[in-house]
Amino acid sequence: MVVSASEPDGDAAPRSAVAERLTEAAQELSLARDLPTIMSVVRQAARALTGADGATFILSDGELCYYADEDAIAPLWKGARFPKHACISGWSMLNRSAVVIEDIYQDARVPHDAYRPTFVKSLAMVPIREREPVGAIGNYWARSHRASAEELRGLQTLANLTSVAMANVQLYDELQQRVRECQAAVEARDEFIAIAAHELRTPLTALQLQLQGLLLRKESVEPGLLSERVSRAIQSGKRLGLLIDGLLDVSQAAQGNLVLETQQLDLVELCRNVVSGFDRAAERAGCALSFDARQAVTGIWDGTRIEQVLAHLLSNALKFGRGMPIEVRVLRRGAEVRLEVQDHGTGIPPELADKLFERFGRAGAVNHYAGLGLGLYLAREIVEAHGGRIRCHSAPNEGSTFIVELPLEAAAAS
Amino acid sequence: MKVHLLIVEDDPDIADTLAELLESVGYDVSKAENGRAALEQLNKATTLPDLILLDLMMPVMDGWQFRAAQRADPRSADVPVLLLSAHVKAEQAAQELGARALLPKPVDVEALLRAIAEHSH
Repeated sequence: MVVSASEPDGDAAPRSAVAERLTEAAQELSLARDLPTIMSVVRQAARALTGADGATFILSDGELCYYADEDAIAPLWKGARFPKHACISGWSMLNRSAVVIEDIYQDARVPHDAYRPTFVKSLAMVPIREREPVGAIGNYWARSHRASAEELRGLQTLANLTSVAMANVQLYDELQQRVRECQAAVEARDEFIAIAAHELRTPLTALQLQLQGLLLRKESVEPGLLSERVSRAIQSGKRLGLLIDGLLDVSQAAQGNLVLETQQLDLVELCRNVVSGFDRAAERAGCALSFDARQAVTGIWDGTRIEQVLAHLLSNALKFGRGMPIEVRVLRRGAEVRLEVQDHGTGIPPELADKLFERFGRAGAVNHYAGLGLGLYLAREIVEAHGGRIRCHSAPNEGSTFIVELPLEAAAAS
Repeated sequence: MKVHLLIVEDDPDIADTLAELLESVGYDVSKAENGRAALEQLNKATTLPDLILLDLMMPVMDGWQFRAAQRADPRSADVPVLLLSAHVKAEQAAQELGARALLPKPVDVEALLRAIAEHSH
């Protein structure tokens, strides 16, 4: 036990008791998982440590001090907020220093009006986290009392313990937040896998049917027909491969990793080519497919990706607008170009129209339900990566118009 | 007389391959690309199909909606249905929709041929 040469006042609590109380407080604080727990431990410990008539736990709140909690013989300022420059706890925080005041009414730093209704004659105040104060702990006496060096040391130690406890609570909160985010991400990933598995079964089914069909009739198939059937099986295999690529694209896009490879091109030419690639499919579906563009529109885009978007919109139009015309239009609108794909099919209920472009959840389930898969989500990611927008105007039985608006120069360069 | 099958399936590759395969083993096959097209076919048909091979996920009108409409129409309600689906709740759907059997995708052709033989006359 260290004996100090001089003690300014004989009223300090016995040293071993102080150490005991600090140890207790340290243990309780180490278990604290939230701020209210810290406050209830500290307000009692702060008072018990010195035998003071009152203790306050103050939190820094921007330019203000917030008297968050207290333990005292009579009410002090619990719940109140004061500007830092107008109170002693603020002074302590701003100056990063402990303060001992034997007679508050002799000290100009103390707002006397705020103290007059209280019992306080003397006080001691220590900042919590001296480097960058986040609060303060105050001790108050109803009589004239000059806090001893040891009392002050005890309060500082308590303040340090509090600082650590508060940092822990913050870390714990952040950890919980991270855990919640991770769980959400895992759920999203699992949902994605389920949807992907379903999507992949379709081309796989075609492939398996083609191969099983070959086996079934192996004795009776002429070589010419055999080649044709095998070629179709290979096509199904390729389709499966494309679908897998598409799913990987969606996964990358969702992580913000969609990379565009842009070049200068004529969008009208590009779209015209995609549309003519759909001529046969349109004929089979009984859809009169038309393409309207007044003049060339040159700009900088990722041609492959835009083709992907248009192809997807067209294949949807064929699915939903069988037997009805489909119009594709490319128009220049100032510094933007507008690509429209309009079908005259069953249309989409308005409440689902803006959810079409989402990945999953109920919206995704809707797309999935309609056989659209994740293509529209990918389309939107591609369009937005260019700095553009995509939307759908539709109403039940009135068909749908998908509108893609792109800047003349893609936002994301390669 | 040949047994007549109606394939209700939106994916053209699956529908075409299935049709060819079933025709090559002696069935008469017609196709519809979604529930609505299938209902139209049933309404116009002079003779109903002996069996319907039904997919669940289709645009315009899905398998659930088709089946509800089919069962509500006394003329076509009795045509038996085999469910061909990759849907995760396909088994439950098969029960709810009163399907004679479920053939999960990718379809096992041997199992399919057995089921067709069993449920068509």
